[in-house]
Amino acid sequence: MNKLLIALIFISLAFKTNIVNAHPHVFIISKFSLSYNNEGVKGINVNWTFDQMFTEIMLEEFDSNSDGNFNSDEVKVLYNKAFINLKKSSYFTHIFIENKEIEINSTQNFNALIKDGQLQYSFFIPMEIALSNQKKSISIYSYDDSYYMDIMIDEENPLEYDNSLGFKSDYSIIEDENKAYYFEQIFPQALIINLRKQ
Amino acid sequence: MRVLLVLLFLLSALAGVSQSNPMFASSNDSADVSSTEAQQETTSHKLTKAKPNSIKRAFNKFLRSNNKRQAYFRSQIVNYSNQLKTDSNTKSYLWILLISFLYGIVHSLGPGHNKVLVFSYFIGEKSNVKQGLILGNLIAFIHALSGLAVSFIFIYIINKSVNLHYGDSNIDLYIQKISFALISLIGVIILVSHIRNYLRKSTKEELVLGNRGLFATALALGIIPCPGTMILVSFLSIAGLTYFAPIAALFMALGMAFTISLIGIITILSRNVILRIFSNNSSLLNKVQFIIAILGSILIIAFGMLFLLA
Repeated sequence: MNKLLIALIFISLAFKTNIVNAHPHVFIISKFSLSYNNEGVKGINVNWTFDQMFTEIMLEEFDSNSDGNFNSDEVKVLYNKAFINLKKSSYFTHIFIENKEIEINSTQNFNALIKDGQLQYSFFIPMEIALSNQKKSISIYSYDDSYYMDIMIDEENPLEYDNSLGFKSDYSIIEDENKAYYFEQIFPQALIINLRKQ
Repeated sequence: MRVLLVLLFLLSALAGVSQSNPMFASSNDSADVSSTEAQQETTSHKLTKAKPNSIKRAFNKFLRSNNKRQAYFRSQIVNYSNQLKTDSNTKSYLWILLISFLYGIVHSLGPGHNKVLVFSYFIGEKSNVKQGLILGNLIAFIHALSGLAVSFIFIYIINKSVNLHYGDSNIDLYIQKISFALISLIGVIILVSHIRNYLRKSTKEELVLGNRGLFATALALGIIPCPGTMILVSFLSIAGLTYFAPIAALFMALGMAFTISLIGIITILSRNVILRIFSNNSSLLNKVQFIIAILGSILIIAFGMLFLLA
């Protein structure tokens, strides 16, 4: 008995990381929009729509006045309890500019709301990308490498952009085998945006 | 001494860092919603061009469509639950049960749910379809009942959201460690038993650990609470269907049992077909049986250790 307990103590102390389990358990659809200044891109707006079952659980937990949506105080609580922790996971967002990854250290303008019975998170990732007449490629990956969340890019409407400042863009969605995660079983989707001055 | 060891064990388990849902903060970190100190740095991570791999691609495609089906079934459960808020009719209850069953099937088709371990267990062992059904059903129902028990402990005893606080409690980490340690141990016992039987030239052609081993394996594999069941039970409780939630969870378990049993039965039948090829040469047959038995038990050990160390 003592030997068994010693073995269990050893196992408990030796392996402190979270062990993966059967997945996924939450489903998210993501889409993006670009914000521009005169020089080029000043950041990326991210929008996530969660599945209805998870939405109901989040409402039960964070909609303290039970009005079916989140007011500013509730959004603050939600931000602290169910968003900022995602910094450890790079907010499930990985951005590459011309094949070089940009480290995401913070986000701005977080908001959470209920639309058509589904929870939506939106936030802004600031970054400076100067644009010229030469094409520049931005790749945005959305995935949770623990695979608790399945994140898919909205295939019908993945990117909103306006070209009022004279920037031209086109995009495509790929599934990247080389960034396979969760025991190399899942290929993350990436939105590839090509940008240049018109 | 034993009390001290038990206390040390509990402390070591509680000291772990675990989080089921990566969204939820386990610390007291807080910040203002609009605050930012944006910095960006380029790192050395680089994109490389994808290499074609048709099998992996097909599997990935299957997982994507399977996830879409899961999301669809979940939305249907929400819709029928909403209908029950205004009109309590038997039809909606039956739909929720049927959809929970289908959700269980597709949910267990995704990664996890011990399918590889069930394959490894039966590929090396002489077993029959009944044993495949028993193991599949035991794993699924223990898995779901474990999730159901944890959900109700959180809802009624701790009075906290299981989805937010289950990760904080480190219960999952503790149970997973025990589960994967037991799986590895069972693998070692099966491996040793096969080697011993082979050296003794035993002609025994049944499960080396017998039916007790089958139950022990099911317990080791199924004891980890099913997060899918926990989400379903939480949602139905929120929807005011608390007493109905366990029935839906059992139907979901039935769906998971269908998939896991099917994997077990396919493995058992495939093994029989492979061994039939060597049936005319008993010496060769014994060698092939021994080799796949050893490979099966090594797979069990490797899988248990992989998850234990993950």
